[in-house]
Parts: sequence; structure tokens; C-alpha cells
Amino acid sequence: MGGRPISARTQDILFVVVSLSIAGIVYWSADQIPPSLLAKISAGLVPKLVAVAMAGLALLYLFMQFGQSLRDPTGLALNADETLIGGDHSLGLNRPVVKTSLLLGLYILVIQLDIAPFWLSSLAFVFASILALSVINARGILIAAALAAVSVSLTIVIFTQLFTVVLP
Amino acid sequence: MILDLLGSFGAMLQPVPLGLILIGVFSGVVIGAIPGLNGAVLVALSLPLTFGWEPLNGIALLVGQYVGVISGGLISATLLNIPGNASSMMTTLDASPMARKGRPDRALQLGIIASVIGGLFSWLALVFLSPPLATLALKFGPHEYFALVLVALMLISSLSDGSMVKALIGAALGMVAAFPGIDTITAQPRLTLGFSQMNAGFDLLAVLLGVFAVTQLLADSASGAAAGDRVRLTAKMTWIKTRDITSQGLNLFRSSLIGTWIGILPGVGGSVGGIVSYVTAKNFSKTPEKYGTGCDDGVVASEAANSATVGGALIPMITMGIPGSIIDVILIAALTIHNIRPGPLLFENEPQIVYGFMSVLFIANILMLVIMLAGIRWFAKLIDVPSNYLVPVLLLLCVVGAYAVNNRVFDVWVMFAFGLVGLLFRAWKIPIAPFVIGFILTPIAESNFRTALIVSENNLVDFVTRPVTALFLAISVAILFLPLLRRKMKPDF
Repeated sequence: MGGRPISARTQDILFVVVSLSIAGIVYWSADQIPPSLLAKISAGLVPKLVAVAMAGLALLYLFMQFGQSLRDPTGLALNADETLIGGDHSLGLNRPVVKTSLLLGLYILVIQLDIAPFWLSSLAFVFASILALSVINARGILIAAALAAVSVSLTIVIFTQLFTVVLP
Repeated sequence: MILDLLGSFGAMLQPVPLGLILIGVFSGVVIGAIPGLNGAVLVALSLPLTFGWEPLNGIALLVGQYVGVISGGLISATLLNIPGNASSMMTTLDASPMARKGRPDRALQLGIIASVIGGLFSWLALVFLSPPLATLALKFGPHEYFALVLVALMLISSLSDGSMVKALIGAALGMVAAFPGIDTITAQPRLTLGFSQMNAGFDLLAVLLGVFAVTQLLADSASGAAAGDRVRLTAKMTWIKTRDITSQGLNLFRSSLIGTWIGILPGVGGSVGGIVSYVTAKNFSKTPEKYGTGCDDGVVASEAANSATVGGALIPMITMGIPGSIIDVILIAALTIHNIRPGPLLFENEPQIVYGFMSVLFIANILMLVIMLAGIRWFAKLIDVPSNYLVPVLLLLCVVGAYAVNNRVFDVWVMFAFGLVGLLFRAWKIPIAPFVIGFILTPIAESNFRTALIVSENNLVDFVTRPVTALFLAISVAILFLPLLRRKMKPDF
């Protein structure tokens, strides 16, 4: 199960392109800041330095990967030595992730646009998300509904009554 | 002094104050363990309860919550791979892998005991070293602060056993994420792209919830309930042995020292203590490659340091009236409400308050040990739920938690966006720790750097002529190249 895998080389190129793009946007945006009275320490100075450093690192990474691919044309050694501190595995886009992400985005959008009362949108989100991640049968629907009702009620009570948070 | 301290212990061990410390620690642990709930909010909300109380009873509750909140983050960090608060971020890196290897009770026990030892170490500093330590800390100016934070930033280079370039790019992305907002020195909007909501920048809690909690929960949704990915504690718990703790002696001492010192420095925060301690432990380790895979040392280093920051932060608060953290601000408010002014004269005018803080901190740490060790099974039950049920409920909690910070839906969008960024980081094998460290430390480093330049009238030479600054700068350069040197020195190179 999983989405279409993207080759390591394509991922590297994407990574470099995104990094360079972000560096470019940051540099451009920081450059728009008018100089202050103390020109040497303008608000844009440090962001521009970081943007330049990031662009340099991205190009260095591209150069290193290009050099490695010349030494190892099969590409087997690409990313072979990369381990993730604190992470577990690389994650492709698969259906449950996409469904959960879409539901979450939709939920936040509903809150933003104030389309429905908060309790209703939260109920719908939890209910739909549980069903999206479970086998759909009568028992599953009942459990999803019950869990949604209990969790949303408790959350609203705890946050509004105990923590006096004003919810949307 | 000893007699006064013993007298204070006698007073705080009475039923009412002891009960309040117990309630404080327990509520702090529960709130600290739940991602999306902010410990500082708990302390702030408890503050009005103490208005009509004896000051020492108020201190008992609030300091108990302070201790509990910092330590409670260990639970979700271990069992969910989600730090309960920013201070337990580094704990996640080793506690969660250890739990997933079938040793969650070991991770929890190590973390709890390390927390207590770190807390008690900082208690000793509070009792015996308060005035001189506070005086020394106040001698630190913006040059020294900048250099110290630069050391912590350079530690990023030690956080990736794979591509250091990717780790540094990750850190740079974290720095970029910290830039948007109104510049603190010139008050100019910066990188806001025309959005007024960006004037306040990206909220720390929203970003942390995103890259840790939302990313992890979305990843959990992929693994599904049948995979049994949720960590469950077995019915028979294995207790760690004494030698498991004694073998960590040097690590505990060093981490507690780092945490205490970082706690003393106002505005630096518990998360920085955990970061510096963790990476220092890794750099000094003979087996640094084990960090991040479920290593005892990593859990101990992070938890000892972040608990030690509590006592450390109380030192400038009590002796100088300068808060070391957000919760210390609330504690100062609590004292002010009772017409008590923290500062140098507190020792003379209200010594019972000073000794009250000391005795409460000690008792709270002991109670935290008892509560957390006894409650490991119960805490696990709270989250012992299949992923398909747990993920949506925790996402709901994260949404509400992100909204509750500033009452803005924008913060919820930020959390969501950084959750997706976290997924991208996983796909591209970019370590998340450098990103978060860059995000947390950049504002502190930049504001101190620019303030230092203003103070020195744009003279960069001051950074090398001030001895402490020069020392920290030299250390930061050494740290930056240390991983490279280490790799060159490996026999298989």
C-alpha cells in the first residue's frame, strides 16, 4: 500500500529546488525592508545572510549528489548513508495520510469560515476521520459516533470551563 | 540557614501545603503529558485560586505544577513520539525509539529518575549558590548571550549522522521560519508577505504541535490500527537496576549542571537546556551513533537538564526578581499579589518565602518521582487506544490547543502547514531537530547579536575582546567542525 514512489534523485532535485526557491523568496523579501537609522544592523541583514547560506548549502548538496552519482552511476549509494535522528522511516503519500490531511484541512477551513458551530464541525471531523481510518460497518459507525461525541464534549468542557478558553 | 530550611520543611510537610503540592504536581504532570495543553496556562489559571490563600500555600500549588508540567512531557514523548511540551522535545529522540523497541517502561523510568536527580541538583544550587550565581548571570550582556546561543546553534551539526548538509539546511529552514513578524529592534514588519496575521510571526506552540504532533499523527494514520504501532506497556513491568542509574553518573551531573545554568539565564528556556545537554552528551559519548536509536544516555541527558532548569530559573527570580521563564513571571505575579517583592531584600524581609520555595521544590520533586513511577500504568491507559481512534481525537486536541494560544485560526493553519512540512522532512530524510532548534534559538541569537552591536557601536572587535564571549565563540567553532573531525578519525575512513 502506498503512493507511487519517487526516485531518490528526483527527490534530491526537488529538495534543492524548494530550498533555493525559499532562499530566493527570503532574500527578496528581506531586501524590500528599508534601511534603518543603524544601517549596518537593518532588519533584513540576518535573513539575507541566512538565505545566502541556505542557497549555498543547497547548491553544495546538489554538487555532492552529482559528484556521487558520477562515482556511482547505478545510484545505489544515493542516500544510503542518511539516517534520521529521531525519525523512523521515510513516508510516502498514501491514502490514509491524504484522507486525514484533507479532512483536517477541511475542518480548519470550516472553523475559519464559521460555516457551522464549533461543536458540530468538531463532531463531524472526529466522526469522519475515525471512519476514514477504520473498516466501515455498523459497529464501527456506532463506535465512531460515540467516541466523537464523548471526545468533543470533554474537550469543549475542559477548555472552556477549566481553562476558560474562548473557542471559535 | 540550615535551621531555617528545616523549619520550612516542617511547615510545608503539614497536611494542607503537602496536599497542595501533591495536587499541583499531579495536575502539572497530566497537563504536561497531553500535547496541545500548555503548562504555563495551567499555572496562570491556578493563580487566581491562590488570591485568598496564605502565600506559602499558593507557592506550594504553583511550584508543584511547575515541576509536574516540565516532567509530564516525558510521557507523551515516550509513548506517542510527541513531546508534551517544548522542554521534552529532545527526550522524544531516544525515548520513543526505546519504547518502540519494546522498552517503554525503561524509557519512562530512566526519564523520571533523571528528572528527579536534575531537579534535586538544581535545588542544591538554589539553596547554596543562589546569590553568587545570580550575580554572575547578571554580568552576562548581549555579547555573552549571543555567543552562548551560538554554541547551542552550532550543536546542530552534531545532530545528523547522515547528511550534515541536509541537517544544516533544515536548521536554516528553521531560522527562516523564525524571521517573520515585527522586528524587535527596528519595529519593521519582516517577511510578513503583506499578511497582518504574520506580524506576530509563527507561534512556537503552533509550530511544535505541527512538526511533532500533527506530523506524527498523520504518519500514524498511515500505519493503521492493525499494525499495533501504539506503544503499550506490558502487564509485568521491569524495574531498572541501580547500576543503570549509576552508570549515567557523569551524564547526570553534566546535564544537571547545564540545565541549572541555562535555567539561571533569563529568557533562554527549558527547551534550550534539553538541546544543549543532549547534544553535549552525544559529542562526549564514545558511541554517538547510538543517539536517536533508543539510547539511555539521550533520555537521561534531556530529562535531567530540563528538570534542572526549574530550580535554576528560580534563582534569579528569588534573588533578583528577574523571571527565568514564563512560569516564573506568573510566580512573581503570585508574590506581588500577596505584597511580596522578590529580589535581594526578600532574604531579609521574608525569609520564610525564600525557604518556602526551597522546601517546596524539594518536596515537589520527590512527589513527582512517586506519582510518575506509581502512575506509569495509568498514564499508559489514557493513551492505550488504537490509532484509528486516537489520531482523530489527538488532532482535535491539537487544533483546540493551537487555537487556544492566541484565539486565532491562523495559528491552527500554521500548525497544519508545519505538520505537512514535517511529513516532507520525513520523505526527504531531513532531521527535524535542527529545524526546531534553529526556530527556537534564532530570535534569541539575532536580538542579542544586534543589541550587542548597538551597545558596541557596531564594533565587531568586542566579540573577541570580551573573554567569556571569545571563549564561547571558540567553543562554537570547535563544535561546528567536531563531527567532521570525528568522521575523519573513524578507522573505516
